[in-house]
Amino acid sequence: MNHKQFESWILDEHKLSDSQKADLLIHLAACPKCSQLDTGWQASRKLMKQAAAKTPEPGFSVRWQAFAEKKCQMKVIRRQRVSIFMALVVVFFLSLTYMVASGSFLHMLADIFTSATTLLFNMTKGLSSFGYWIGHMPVVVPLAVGFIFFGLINAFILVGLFTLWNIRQRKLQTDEIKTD
Amino acid sequence: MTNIEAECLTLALQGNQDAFTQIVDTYQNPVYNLCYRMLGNPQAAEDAAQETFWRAYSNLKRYDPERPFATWLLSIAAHHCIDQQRRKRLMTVDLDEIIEFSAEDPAPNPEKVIVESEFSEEIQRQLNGLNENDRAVLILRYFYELSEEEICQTLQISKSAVKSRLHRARQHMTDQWTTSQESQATERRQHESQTI
Ligand SMILES: [Zn+2]
Repeated sequence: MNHKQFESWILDEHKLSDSQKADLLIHLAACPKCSQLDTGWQASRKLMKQAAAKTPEPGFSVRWQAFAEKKCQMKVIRRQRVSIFMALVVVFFLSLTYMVASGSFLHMLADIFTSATTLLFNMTKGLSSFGYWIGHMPVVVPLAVGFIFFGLINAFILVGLFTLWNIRQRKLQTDEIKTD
Repeated sequence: MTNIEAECLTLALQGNQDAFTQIVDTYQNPVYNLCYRMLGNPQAAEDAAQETFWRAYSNLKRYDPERPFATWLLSIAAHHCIDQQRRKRLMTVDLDEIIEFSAEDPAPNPEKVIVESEFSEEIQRQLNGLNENDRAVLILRYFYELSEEEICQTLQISKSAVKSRLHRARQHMTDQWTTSQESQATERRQHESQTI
């Protein structure tokens, strides 16, 4: 019987008949190569059986909860990004359609320019009417009311700044999650 | 699977994350051990085990209750680790990782643990030399005692692939063992000649 056959009997863990077992034993006694293979494989197998199972550091499931939390947040962020991207695509195609419908790119540019200047004009006009209106208010506003009015404006500005700062912080936190 | 686990699974399917945490608690050891044996480093094993449970949680609807839950989890872990290994092999070797790898696992003191850990480290050294596909098959066969049929299902490969991978892996482990025996013998001889 050839050498390959015995190698396969040793390594492939065949169910051997009694006569095959006897043949293998005879061959192992005569063939150092197969004998070494048999000893090596038996030892490796024993080593695998004896090796202790590795366990995670304590608190694995608690860490998993935190991990799952982060993954959920990332999912939300990804969904938001997809929505923004889709919105941009829609805007792009709408403007493309408009461009094609209006006939030329220059027309579209001119229209945008006109709309922007009209908007600016209306805004300055609105502001100057507001100034006019303030200028024609009765002058008998007491000083105390003036203080309250400016106090309120300051409070609004502070709240606005705080909200902006808060949004920035949150953005930083989500960026951290992303890079984790 | 116990009744409590089945109940947890039902709750988790309804989106109850706490119920799934119970499942994580129950299966953390087999999943972590597989990841460790596949990746050979505690940090990578921790990350892979966490990712395995997350993937299981997000794909719980795809779990077929006819199959054992543990096998399903091990299947996710094995696929993830094979992917990780493949990616790592494709990337250039990161020096930090080598340093981390050699500084791993400060051994706790009891002697019994040291002996077990020696076996464990020795076997890990031998496993590290195997390619990821052969390694997964060998680990499932000898650390988890899955049958060839179960390995086919877990890794979604043919029976002949399982057989040939097992053959290659056994051959590799045997060669590694022989080499380590030879180098130990050489070291002993050198030590003896030094003492004389
Ligand atoms: Zn032979």
